[in-house]
Amino acid sequence: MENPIPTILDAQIQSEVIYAELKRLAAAHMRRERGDHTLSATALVHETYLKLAKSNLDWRSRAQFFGLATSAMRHILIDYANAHRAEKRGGEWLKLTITGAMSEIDKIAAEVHDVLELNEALLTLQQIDPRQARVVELRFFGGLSIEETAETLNLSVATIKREWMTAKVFLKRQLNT
Amino acid sequence: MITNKTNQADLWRRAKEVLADALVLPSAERPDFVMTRCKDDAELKIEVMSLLSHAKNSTDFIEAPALESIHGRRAEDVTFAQDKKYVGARIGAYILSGEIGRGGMGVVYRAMRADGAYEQQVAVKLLKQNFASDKDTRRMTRERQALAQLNHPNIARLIDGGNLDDGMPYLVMEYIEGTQIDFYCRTNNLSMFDRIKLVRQVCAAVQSAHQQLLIHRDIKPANILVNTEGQPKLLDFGIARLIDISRDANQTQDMLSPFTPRYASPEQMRGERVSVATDVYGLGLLLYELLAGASPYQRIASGDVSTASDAIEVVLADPLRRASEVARASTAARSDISGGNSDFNMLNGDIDIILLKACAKLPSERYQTVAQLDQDLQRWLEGRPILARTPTWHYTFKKFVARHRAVSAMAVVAFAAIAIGVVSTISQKRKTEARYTEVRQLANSLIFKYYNKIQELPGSSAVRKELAAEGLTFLDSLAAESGSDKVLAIEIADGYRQLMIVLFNGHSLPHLGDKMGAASAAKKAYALLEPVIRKEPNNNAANGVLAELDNETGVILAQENPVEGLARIEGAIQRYAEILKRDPTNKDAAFKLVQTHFSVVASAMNSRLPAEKFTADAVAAFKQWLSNRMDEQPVQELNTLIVRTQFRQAFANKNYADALKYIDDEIAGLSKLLALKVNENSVVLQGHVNAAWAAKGVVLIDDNRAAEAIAALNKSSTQMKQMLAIDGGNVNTQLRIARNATHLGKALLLQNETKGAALAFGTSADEYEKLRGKDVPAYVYPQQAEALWRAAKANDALNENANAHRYANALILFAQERSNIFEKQPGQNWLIDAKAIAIKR
Repeated sequence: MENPIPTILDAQIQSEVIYAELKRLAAAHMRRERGDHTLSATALVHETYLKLAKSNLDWRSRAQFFGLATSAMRHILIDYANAHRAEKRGGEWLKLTITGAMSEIDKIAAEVHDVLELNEALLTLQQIDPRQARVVELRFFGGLSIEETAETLNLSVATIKREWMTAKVFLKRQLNT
Repeated sequence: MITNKTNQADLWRRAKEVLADALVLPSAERPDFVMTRCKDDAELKIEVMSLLSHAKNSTDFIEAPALESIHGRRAEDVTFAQDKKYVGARIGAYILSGEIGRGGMGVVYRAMRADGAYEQQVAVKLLKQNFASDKDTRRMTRERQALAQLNHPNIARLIDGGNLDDGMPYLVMEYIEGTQIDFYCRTNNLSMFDRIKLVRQVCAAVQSAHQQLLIHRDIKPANILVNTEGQPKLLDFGIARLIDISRDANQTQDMLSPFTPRYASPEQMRGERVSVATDVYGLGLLLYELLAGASPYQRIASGDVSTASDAIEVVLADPLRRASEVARASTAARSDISGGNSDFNMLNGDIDIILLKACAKLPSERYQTVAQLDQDLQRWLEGRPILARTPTWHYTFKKFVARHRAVSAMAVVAFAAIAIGVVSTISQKRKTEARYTEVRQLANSLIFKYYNKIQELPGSSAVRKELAAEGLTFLDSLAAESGSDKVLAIEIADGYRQLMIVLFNGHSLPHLGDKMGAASAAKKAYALLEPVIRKEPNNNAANGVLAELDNETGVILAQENPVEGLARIEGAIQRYAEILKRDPTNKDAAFKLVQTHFSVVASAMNSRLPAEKFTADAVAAFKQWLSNRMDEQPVQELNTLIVRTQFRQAFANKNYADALKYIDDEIAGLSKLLALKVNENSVVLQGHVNAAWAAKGVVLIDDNRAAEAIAALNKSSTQMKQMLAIDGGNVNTQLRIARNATHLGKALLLQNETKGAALAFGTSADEYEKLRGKDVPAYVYPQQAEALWRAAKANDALNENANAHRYANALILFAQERSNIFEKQPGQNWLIDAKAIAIKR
């Protein structure tokens, strides 16, 4: 018999699979992460990709995977930030976050706040310029480079640069006011 | 809604095209570019300019992906790869000469003054920041300014700081050459005593910072360097708060990963607020490791802990081992502490207790101040019993601090300051009386001043209650110490009195509704005052507190027993009066005497007793008080204003008697003011006096008292002329001289001295004429017209035709200039008269 799993899943199932795998990896990383090497979103996304590529799942393209993975990453990080904010006084999530120097806790709290604020600002941008918001999502939440972003969105590097540069100013204004 | 969103989207689409092109230009060229590009599109222009105003410092903004940001870390090697560009760069007055270290959050450079003004080497830290919002930058600046105030020989100074053009924050710090403290102890084979002494120096530095409400937050061996003179220098004070620099420059590597939280306090790990107790923990741990040669945590010491989360678990949960046991077990301790066994055998129960107390997991179980820790170390060195063993009254403070950490870090530090004060007060056996008093006052005022501040915090009533209780404990302990010190006894009595008000009071001041507690506090105050007043019935300070106490308790008493209550308050008034008899300069007693009068009035009214007499007494007391303050400038100035107003009202009502009384009052008041040294040469005040004399003259004319009027007016004019000699060109003075002459003429007319009057009117008209070309107030013109008219008339009556013609013609000319004056009475008639005189031959 042929493999019963269809080679091309519908987008919904794909993103659920990616989300679950990413979350598992991210949690594992955060728990075990030490100061001696950098935990990067890109690494996580790539790790997830490699992991899932070994399975029977298939994607139309690598770019499409990055697209889906980045959205998943954004969800994970926002969930994480929200949980962190809700449980500043302790709890599992807090322990999970503390991988660096402990005196950094105050700062982490501020940054978590910033990630949430940035997400808010990004939602505003999403309303008026969905494509540009997608660029930010890929770059900031997905950790993709300019080139990877261009590939994922099938746009020129120059366009992504322009979008990125102006989006940063837009978001900065949004955060500062 | 939809339209709005579409509009927004459209505006953004157009704006970002311009923005993208503008961003690649140097910032100076951007505005012109935008103006040209947007042409007449004002909306677009505004939008792009607004966006550009936020473009500053956006280079690094969100360049680090979210995951790295959340971790408080970034792919530092990527970004720091470009750091070489900073070597040779100029930052403020300094030129970076070379990298001396780098850590998770930044790179440290050695730097020299660029102007070569003097040889000064500094360390410059460039801090990596993920988000530098304007808010963060402002907060950092404030924080930095506070840290820059820190000036202690054992603390590396923060000299300067700011942001580079690209937004990167930097700190300029004192450059310290030295050896990390643990390494220093090891290589120099320091004895245990010397190690403790070294840490005590660090304690003193930290304590001095705490008194300025600054907490280090990151005390660890890597942050303490010992220089060649053996002086420890504390680095990075408060920097942990600014931005954590955990892997720091010019400090050697920890045994574990640089990110190991082995020196962070449990509360920091729990993400709770830090307080002075956090630094106590840091110092305790530092000393522990220096003495025992290993971490108090078994699993850390044995190297079983390799990850941060394991370390957290250990610090939060594992028990602390006794330092003496660790030292015995630790080979390191044996080999590197000089004196060998005999020395580390001295790590006995007391030092164990000190260290366990300093490193307790709960901040509330630690020494509440570094001073306390330091003091116990001193006691240990001197072989005296340590305080950690015996529970003392200040535990209550400690508990308070621990329980209310949430109120604010400020509160914690403020209370720590109280504790510091009190501890040094009680325990150091009053080293010097002056210092004792100073500390006592500090502690005393902190309690009650802080109480008021806390009132403003929402939901603070529980804290206030507790604070009142702490205040009581504090005072009780002081009272026990006061002995035969009567000054202290009076001061403590006053403390109890204040506490009483906090607990319950009969005025409308905030209180906690604890009448019993208030009564008990008052009772203690009376008990302290009684022996003092028995021995010294005329002690003003004691009587002052007693009077105040009688007033406070009298008001409460009057609510139930008006007769007794009122009698007691009146007794307080009497007491103040006696104080004032002995010391007439006692301003406080003078003020409170009046205030207490109003206590009587209010209590009588509250009890529905007739209060008219009390009110009259109170007003009289106030007036008496006021009259004694007349030599104080603001009082006198206001009084003068009131008198002047009353004068004008009386004069307008043609009540000459009152008007003259008021103007005499005014002259007297102004003269008092002029007598004050500061006002000796006041042109303004002298002008007021002269004007008052003139006003008096005017009243006297109206009252037909010509001779007195002339005297008053002459006095005014003489003084005016003297003033003019000093202050020539003062138009106001010249105008008054002119007007006075008119009045003088009128007074002379009353005496039928027509010649003198004509002369005076003529002088007046001439004086006004002198002012031609100068701007004068509008009310002057009719006065000038009147002077001309009177001069013309008076001279005409005397058949002084030449003069009469001259003034009549002048008036006719003046009427052409100021026609409005002559369109109505009396100007109309003046003009008719003048014309009649002018056509006479």
